Amino acid sequence: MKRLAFLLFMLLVLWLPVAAQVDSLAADADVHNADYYYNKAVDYFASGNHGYANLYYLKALRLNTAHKYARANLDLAIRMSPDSKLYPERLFLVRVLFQGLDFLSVNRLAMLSLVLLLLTALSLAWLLFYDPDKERALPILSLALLGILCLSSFSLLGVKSYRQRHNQLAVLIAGNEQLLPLSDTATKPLAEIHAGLIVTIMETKGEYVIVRLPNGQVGKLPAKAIAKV
Amino acid sequence: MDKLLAHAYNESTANAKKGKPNSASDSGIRDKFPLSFLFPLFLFVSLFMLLPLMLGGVKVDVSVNKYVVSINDQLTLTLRISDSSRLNISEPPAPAVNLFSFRNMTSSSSSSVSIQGGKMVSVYSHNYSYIYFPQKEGQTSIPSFTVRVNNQDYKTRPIDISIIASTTNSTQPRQSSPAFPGRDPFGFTIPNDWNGDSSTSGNTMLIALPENQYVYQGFPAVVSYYLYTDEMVRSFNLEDEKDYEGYGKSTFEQPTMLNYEEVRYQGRNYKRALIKRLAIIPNKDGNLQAPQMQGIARLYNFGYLNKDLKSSGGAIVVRPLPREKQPAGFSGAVGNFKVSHSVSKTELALGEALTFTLKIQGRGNYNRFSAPVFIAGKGFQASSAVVMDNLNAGIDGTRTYYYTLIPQTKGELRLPELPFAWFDHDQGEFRSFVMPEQVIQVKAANVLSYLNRIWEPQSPRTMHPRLKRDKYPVYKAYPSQAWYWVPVLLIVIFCLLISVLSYNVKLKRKSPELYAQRQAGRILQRYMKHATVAAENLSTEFYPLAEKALFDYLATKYKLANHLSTEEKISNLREKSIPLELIAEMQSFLQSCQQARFMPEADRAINLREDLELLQRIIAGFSRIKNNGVKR
Repeated sequence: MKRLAFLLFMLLVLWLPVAAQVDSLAADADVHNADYYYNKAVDYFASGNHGYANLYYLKALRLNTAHKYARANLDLAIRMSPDSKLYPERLFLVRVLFQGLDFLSVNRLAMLSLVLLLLTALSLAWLLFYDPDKERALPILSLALLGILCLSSFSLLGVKSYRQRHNQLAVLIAGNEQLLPLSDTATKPLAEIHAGLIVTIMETKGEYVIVRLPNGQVGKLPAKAIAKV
Repeated sequence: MDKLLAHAYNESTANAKKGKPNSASDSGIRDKFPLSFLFPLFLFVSLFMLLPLMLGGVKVDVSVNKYVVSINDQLTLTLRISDSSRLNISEPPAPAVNLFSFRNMTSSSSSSVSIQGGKMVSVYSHNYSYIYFPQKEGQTSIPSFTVRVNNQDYKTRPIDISIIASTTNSTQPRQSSPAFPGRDPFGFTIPNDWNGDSSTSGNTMLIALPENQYVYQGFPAVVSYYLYTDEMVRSFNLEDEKDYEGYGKSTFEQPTMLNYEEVRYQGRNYKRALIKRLAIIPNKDGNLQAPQMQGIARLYNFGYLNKDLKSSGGAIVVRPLPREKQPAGFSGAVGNFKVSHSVSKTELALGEALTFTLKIQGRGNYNRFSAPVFIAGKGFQASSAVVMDNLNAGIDGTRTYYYTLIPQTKGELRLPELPFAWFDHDQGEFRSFVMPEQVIQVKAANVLSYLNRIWEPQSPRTMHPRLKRDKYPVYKAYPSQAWYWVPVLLIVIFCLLISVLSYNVKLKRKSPELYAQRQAGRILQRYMKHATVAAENLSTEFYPLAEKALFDYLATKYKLANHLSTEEKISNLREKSIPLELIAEMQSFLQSCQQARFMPEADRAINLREDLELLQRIIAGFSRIKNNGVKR
């Protein structure tokens, strides 16, 4: 028991400098504030630069997926864009699910996970010290439910944190660009796309990046034409 | 059109020589230092010498506007040369590109100064743009060519280009025939004596048109700068633009090539090409002068020569707007506008929203007026406008305002007024947008209509404005911070502790004997540990520790009171059916302990190892016995 406690303590001690380093890296990169990025996006949109506007809306949402103003403005900018038809129409329930996931930003999810962990621990204590002569279905049920929720919450937190750090989204910042086929022999452009279109980077090949459009179409674009979120 | 930068590698044979070691000085040093020391030193010095090259130096980039060009399109090859000091460049000739014909070349230069880390950093750059027209479909490559900068040669890298068939039927503008008939001056056998200084008898001039124009204050005056010539002008480089007071300006059009047209000017035949077209928005009334352009025309006359040109003309007389009869809703819009509107639906339920669109088309000062606002209190809640511009130079095109209107009562509602007025430049009078009366049927709400905002994602909403923030704290994800994991760790430890505790409680309740035995084992282990250490160190502390360990163990296992004497404890053990041999061994051990107390210190350690083995035998014997005395 002592060894386990010591091991956990050491893990915590080792984690401290790592966490501090991560924080300092984050602080060095930029102002790194969702509101700051949002305001920059609004300024870009007002000046007619829709590419950079969408880029900064996405930067704001990357930090805080629950930033409702950034979400609303980005949705509106997408609907007004000439490439609006490239974005898939989601079913109502899917949309609600995504809205729910967006509401749970990384920090909200972290706090929720912590609360659920505490409740799970209390529920475990309740079950362990429950009167053995009584029926134990209720504490078992509560422990099982809270345990599942807690595990799901931490799993989701892990996924969101990973996606926050390894975001593959990018925005077309060039005015108009031709989406080229992947094959080097084919020369006919696949589509003409416009500034502000959100794409997913799949691979970088020299001066080109292979991207996936919102409608699932895959092609390559000059690396200089897009900006990574 | 965004340029696709392709980094060229800068190779300088002269710079490479800097990295070579000095053999003479090497031999001198080699006498004083061992060779193993010299090599890292040499490496360090070499790297240190190359540091300025790695950190800065002349940078030569080539880029093209597209890698895939349709046959009707044009290719722009841009060469950018930059350095932290002033550049001495021999103007590079256009590279010959297979399947392309060279048409024109423009150049520009710039310099900037910035402060980085408290140090002033200057950047000087020269840009050369070469325009090519594709001749036929196929694959080709822009070859590597040499650029001479500051008396050093730099090579660009080759770029592969594909020429494809036209994807559209549109015919893009291409540079017309040169101003002077005869042999094609744009071939690739270009002589290098461009800077010849011979004089010509022809006439070449730069004129701003219209030379005089009248506009109302606020209306954008468009001034076109034309190159008029009756000579053979190969290219024109715009060098400077001199500004005057009283206006704001934006570039309306700037061709990348000389497109000549034949005109008659002041009784003579000329060819003219548009150089630049500016939109001038006057800030004050009275006489204004449009910016004066300065540039160099390259003429071909059995050799190339330069001619400096300055623009003439471009006078603007600005009339003030009439002060009387300004209608409500006039917020400074001046232009020749066509205004239209539309609504997304005329029937809806309470809770639903409709989209009102106001479209303004034409030429005017779009940047000088704000979005019109619906008059409130007419049964609708109106959002502020979402503005979408499709404008050229901010003066010509279409502006669309989107409003979201949400009815507040049911029934037949009329759209609220949207006052918008402007000064019509051509008519010379104020005009107002009058929305025809439009009835909107608003039905009673139902559950679905409240959900419609989610169901109808296509309806525009208001663009949210900036957020007022005094400061922007740096975002930190909680999971990446140490404090977050402290409570997590504590909760996990808490769970482990309560699990162990609960197990013990359960054991104590279900099997008290087993529990007591385990407790005794733990105690024994604790004391035996000290006793064993003492025995290994031949310490005289062994006997008291061993005696205490044995009695504590027996007290816990058989619930023997500590206040009993040794004889009483042994008799208690006999009553618990402990084997007699074990009790005899225990008595023998206790006797040894008693004797050791009165022995001289030097003699105590003689039997330590034997007594330790005896003690371990006794404990093992007791461990094998259950509390009721039965052997396991």
